Amino acid sequence: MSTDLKQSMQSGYEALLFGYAAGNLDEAQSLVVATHLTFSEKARRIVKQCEDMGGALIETQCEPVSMCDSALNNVLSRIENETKCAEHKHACCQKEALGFEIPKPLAETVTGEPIKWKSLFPGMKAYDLPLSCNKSVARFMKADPGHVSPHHSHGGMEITLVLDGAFSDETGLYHRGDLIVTDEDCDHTPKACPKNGCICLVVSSEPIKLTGIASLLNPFLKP
Amino acid sequence: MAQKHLRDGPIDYSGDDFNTMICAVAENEDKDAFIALFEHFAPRIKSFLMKGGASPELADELAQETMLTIWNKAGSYNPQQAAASTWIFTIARNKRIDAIRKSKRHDIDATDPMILADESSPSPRQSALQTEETKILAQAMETLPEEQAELVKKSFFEDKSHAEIAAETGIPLGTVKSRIRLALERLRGDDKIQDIWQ
Repeated sequence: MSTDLKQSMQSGYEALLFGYAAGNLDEAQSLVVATHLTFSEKARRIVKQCEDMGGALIETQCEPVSMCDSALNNVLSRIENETKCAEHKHACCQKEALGFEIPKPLAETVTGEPIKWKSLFPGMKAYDLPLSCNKSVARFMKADPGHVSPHHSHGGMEITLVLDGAFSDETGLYHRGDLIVTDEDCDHTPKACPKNGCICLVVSSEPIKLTGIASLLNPFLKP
Repeated sequence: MAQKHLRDGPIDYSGDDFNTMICAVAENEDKDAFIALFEHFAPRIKSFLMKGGASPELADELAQETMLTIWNKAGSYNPQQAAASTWIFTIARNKRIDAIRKSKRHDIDATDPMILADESSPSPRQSALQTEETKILAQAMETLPEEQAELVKKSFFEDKSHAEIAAETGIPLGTVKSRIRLALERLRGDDKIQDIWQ
């Protein structure tokens, strides 16, 4: 793989985690990052470093602005009068939806939704996650063992998290928990693991564009 | 939580030991500690939100909401994992996402049994940044090249996505991302930061 592409993917990855820490991501993007964080201690450390930067900026770059006169008393009286609302999260790592355990952020999103796969093209199925915001699209993509995706590029940023199985492309071999960030410069041909196939969570800002002869299929790829 | 079992009686906090103040709120519902936290952080949170374009009224309201959440969630604060300012930043950030960006944010669940630890990586240090170390980090951020510092501030304060920054400034998106990576690499390479980030 070219150094440029590797650098660009690494920048895309760190910039995505940075954006998560700074609070700049949309819903689908934050979902795929939160799920990846469950798998990766290294990613959690990067996010934490970025959040330390946010804390440092609040501490030193935010010249205090006086609160309104009643602010402190307001908050104190709410503390007296409101009972602490404990947060209950019940979603477990459900196995039913996909047939294997998935981290909580994702489990909460697919709860109660049976996965109805739709065929994208032979050997590849997809399911669009029901999210309230439709800025980016989040979908599960399921590739049969050994399936080779048509050569394609991306209109915008594409974030791929491997949930089960593995896949490889020109840039490397990716397993469960790995997160790959590609942008419009990355024209690649993913191949699913010959033994187990691959299930990924894919978040894209714009629809995938097939290139070459496969581009005839593009009209069918619209979400 | 840190040394919970070692303490009898009220927690002793002094100076600007905000980490300990949050623990005092968690363990003893200590109002004096909370008021000290309020007086230090609320005006800064208000300022942080106003930098992103919030009106003074909205920023005041959200800063109050942030402080209320600090009181309610103090029990989930782990001083070994996050500096007070880091933890408080994340709460203020989430208020901004809810109220201003009006977007849903998904978070890792710290109790998720699926959380994987990487055994090959060095064990994390035993305590989070102290206030002094937060200032060291801030100083190092001051020394970032202007082009990197600018991007960091636009992201944190103005809540701009990288694509929005690219569109606004005319800097190619790939360059925006590589500058952010370079900023992080530079901070990690700083001797003093290496000690505190490990």
